[in-house]
Amino acid sequence: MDREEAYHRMHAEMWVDRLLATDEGRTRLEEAVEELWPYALGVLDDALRPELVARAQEKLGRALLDVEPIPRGVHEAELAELWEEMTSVRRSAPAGARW
Amino acid sequence: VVTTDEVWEALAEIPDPEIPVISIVDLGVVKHVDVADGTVCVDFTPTFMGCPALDAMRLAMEARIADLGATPDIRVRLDDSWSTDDITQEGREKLRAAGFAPPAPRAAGKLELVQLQRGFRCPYCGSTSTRLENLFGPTPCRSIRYCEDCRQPFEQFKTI
Repeated sequence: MDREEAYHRMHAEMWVDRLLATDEGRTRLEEAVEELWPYALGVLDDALRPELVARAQEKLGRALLDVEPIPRGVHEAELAELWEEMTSVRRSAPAGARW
Repeated sequence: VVTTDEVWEALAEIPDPEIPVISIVDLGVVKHVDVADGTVCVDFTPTFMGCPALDAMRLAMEARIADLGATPDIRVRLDDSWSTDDITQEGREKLRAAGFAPPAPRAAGKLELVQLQRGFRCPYCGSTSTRLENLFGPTPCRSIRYCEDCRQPFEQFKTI
């Protein structure tokens, strides 16, 4: 599914470029990277991490700290209820709604 | 007795649930039709992963085949073999006429952002001074562009 995933990566790149275009954007992006970098690394397996590191460093123009990845957690019971609620409208008209 | 041609014709009347100007046959998602002993087998491929139109397409095909007096057996191919290159020429024209820029042909090699920034034609005025506004439009398969000449936003079918 590399073809489709490429769009998600490019979407992120566009947002990073927009944020880097202003001082306030850059500051806030840097703060967010600081906070979320271990989680971002945790989403990927060992083989894919170096590419993310290289791309992020190139965009930010600086080296990123070598932190320990925080692996993805597991969903708890609350998600089932939330999922039920969030998808109820679509399920109410499986063959497509008519307005 | 139902023939495969009749099945293809019936399926060609099913509009795409999200872009109803083209049919699911124009879209190229119907890969194979087989008729045997009153059962119609249809192989079809999802477009984008998690596309909510998948169920709607399957249900619509089942209903059309039942209308022909046959038993539907719709099989979803769980791979990523569909590409926007499978959209028929007629489908591309219908998209353009409805104000959607049709997808560019798939290029060899990895897709990069720079390729999407410039050079796509506005379906309203024909200008190529258009820019990418957002990669994700109202559905995962469409992106939003903006025409600098006629100053209209328009949607583009993404190439996959």
